[in-house]
Amino acid sequence: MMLKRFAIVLASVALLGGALVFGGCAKSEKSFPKRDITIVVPFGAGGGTDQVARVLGDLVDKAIEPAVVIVNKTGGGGAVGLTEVSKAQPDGYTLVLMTSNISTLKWTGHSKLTYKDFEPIVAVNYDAPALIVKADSPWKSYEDFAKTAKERTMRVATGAPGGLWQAGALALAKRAGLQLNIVPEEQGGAPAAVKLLGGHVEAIVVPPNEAASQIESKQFRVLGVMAPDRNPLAPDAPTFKELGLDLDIRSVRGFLAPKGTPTEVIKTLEELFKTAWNSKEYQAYMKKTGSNAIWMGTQEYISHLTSEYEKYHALLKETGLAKE
Amino acid sequence: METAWSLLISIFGRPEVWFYTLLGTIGGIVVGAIPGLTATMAVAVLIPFTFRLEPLVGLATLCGIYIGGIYGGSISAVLWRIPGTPSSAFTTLDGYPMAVRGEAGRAISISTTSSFIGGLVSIIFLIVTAPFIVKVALRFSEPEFFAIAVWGLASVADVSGKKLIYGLISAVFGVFLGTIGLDPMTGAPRFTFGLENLQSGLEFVPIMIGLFGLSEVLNEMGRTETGQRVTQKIGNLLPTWEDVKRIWRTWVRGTLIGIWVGVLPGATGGAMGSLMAYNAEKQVSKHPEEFGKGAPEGIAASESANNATVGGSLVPLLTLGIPGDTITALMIGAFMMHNLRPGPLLYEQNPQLVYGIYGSLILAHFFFLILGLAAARTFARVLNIPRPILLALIVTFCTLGSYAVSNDVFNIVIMALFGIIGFIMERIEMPVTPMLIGLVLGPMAESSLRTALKMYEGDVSVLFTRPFSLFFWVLTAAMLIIPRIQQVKAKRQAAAVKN
Repeated sequence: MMLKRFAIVLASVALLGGALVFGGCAKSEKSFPKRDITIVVPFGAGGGTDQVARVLGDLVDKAIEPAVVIVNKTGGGGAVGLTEVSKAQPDGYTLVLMTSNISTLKWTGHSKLTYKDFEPIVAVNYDAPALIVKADSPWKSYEDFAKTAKERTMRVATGAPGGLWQAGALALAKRAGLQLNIVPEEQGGAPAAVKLLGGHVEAIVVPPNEAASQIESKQFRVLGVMAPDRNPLAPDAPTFKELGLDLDIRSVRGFLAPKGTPTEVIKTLEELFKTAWNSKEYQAYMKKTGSNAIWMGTQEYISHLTSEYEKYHALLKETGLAKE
Repeated sequence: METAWSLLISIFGRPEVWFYTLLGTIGGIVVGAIPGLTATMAVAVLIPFTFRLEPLVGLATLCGIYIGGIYGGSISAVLWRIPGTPSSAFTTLDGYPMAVRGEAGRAISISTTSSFIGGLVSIIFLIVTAPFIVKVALRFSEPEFFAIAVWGLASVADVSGKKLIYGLISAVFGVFLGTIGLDPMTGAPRFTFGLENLQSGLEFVPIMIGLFGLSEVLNEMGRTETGQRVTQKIGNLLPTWEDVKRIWRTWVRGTLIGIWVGVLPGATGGAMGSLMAYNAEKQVSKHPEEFGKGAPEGIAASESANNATVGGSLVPLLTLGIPGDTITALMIGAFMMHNLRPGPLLYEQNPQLVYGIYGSLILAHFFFLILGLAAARTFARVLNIPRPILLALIVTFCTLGSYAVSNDVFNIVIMALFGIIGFIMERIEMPVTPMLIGLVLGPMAESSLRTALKMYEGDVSVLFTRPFSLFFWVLTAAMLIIPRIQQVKAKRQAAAVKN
């Protein structure tokens, strides 16, 4: 009797032990991601960054078993969302999609964080400001505009104060020697486009996708783009490089993880995002919105952020927007 | 016009449009009615779910949510004194006192019909006159916005009640609260105390929930008498003929003001529309002292205006592709996700879609009218829940709603703080409305003045010589001077009678 009991107990313990051992094996076979990934968007729902996060997040969600969840945490030009992710667990389950504001927030005094506090993963697109006028205005090209701007002060609206579009406008005025009265617009590009439409300003310096509707319907004309590539919405508009001016004011969007996230996790994420980036849906979406799709793998993104950090510091100092 | 008609008819023939618009409207009403969850949140949260649907159906759902949400806010405003959305903040002022008197059903039916009329008329305006209205709206720029803001701020004197000095303190406090955040022209942080959460300023929703909702809970808790329940008079579904005779002119004024505020591109939405309409109504009323105590005109003005801003905001969205308020900004995102861009080309390339949207907008209004009126009795019965349970529920919703604004505990703290502030303000009889006016219009006045001066390089005359801004200055002057003249006349008459 005792022996039978003892045998039963021994068998159950053996089974249990085996289950635990083999159960553990099965678990370790399934690697990252094991649970839902959260992407923090430091800007408002429906805006440019939010949309990119949702499009790519949706594509990655379809490719993995767990879900991809988008959360908006707005404020401070991206500072609030950035801070939140910098404090998150470095396990790859909390990421942030950030613009080039990561390279300006420290200099404008809005945050103490920089790219050094994160592990960059990949960069997926960029927006760059362009000089835009009304189609029925007398300026058919940048040269026309520059000629007038050297004779008298012109009224130009741009994006948020302390932001990259304003920096671009100020840099244009400085480097090309133009007399521009630059009016920042707290709410960003869309109200600036309205000002141009109503004839309250003579030009605007914003990314083309913030005035997309009017560019498409040919009410606006793009005179120059501050980027190395032309813009899909206005393929006939030259870049400022082609016009002979050094103006490259790209706001690059990329995913970042908290500092200390393991390299294998970053690599897995890089691959997941690469597949999503290469998809037809994403490429078509980028074209439709007038944004420039670029790809930077992890190493490329890190070196881009390193140089961007110094470059934008110099830009902000040059345009008087830097606080340090 | 013929193709327009046939397009509309064909839209009404599609059952999916009816079904999803209804679904959206119900969803919007529920979320709007839950205190703390706003129409903006409803749209933001539900937008991704609409991506799977066909564009017309997805956008129809969003329209339903938008319209249902703006209407739904009035329900909790009347029943619990918590505006369900910022647009209903001014409905609480007269809706809640009416409910306390036992006339919750009357309050709800007035607010439902006002919302319906304001909203439907604004949609008709949208369909018929959009391209024309928008041309006029584009002539408005910072100088005009400044004049409008000053007009609104000047009305503080009239809504202050007996103690003018208290009203002024309240207004100045509101303006001060509006300065917290980043400077609109230089981006320099003001009063942020190094807190990142304050860099974008204080959120309106937690302040509103705390000021109205939590303070009322504190108030109720302070009451030692228990069980003072006024039985709700549940009568007719529709407003009575006497009420209609009183408020039909309010409907006209409120709707026009709401449409106009909505059309102005930028962050002008239901809150500002209802504020302006409420103020205007109080100024032209023969019984201004009734406002704030349960005047039907107060409810009618606020609700017709806030729903009218919906149609107004859709004008710049659909004709120019530019958002008229926060929700329409979100909707641009929705359009983009369906690979469509709102704007002049949309009318040309995709007229069925545009008319489909018009159709669902119209449907949504009829849906909420029927639902709201039919459910008025049920809504009113909510007030019969035992007070302790009701108060606990309200506090729960207040907390959840404040959290939901930014997924952050910070806003719960703000809500609690303003709950206490609201409670204190009421104890010392300091009016709350001027503070709200200051909070909403202060930032608008500041940024528009500074931007205008920057645009015109310090030329102050620009503010006064442009025709539209001049109009608002004259209005402000009239508003300040005429009552004083009337007072002087009345004094002279009284003196003459004595002799």
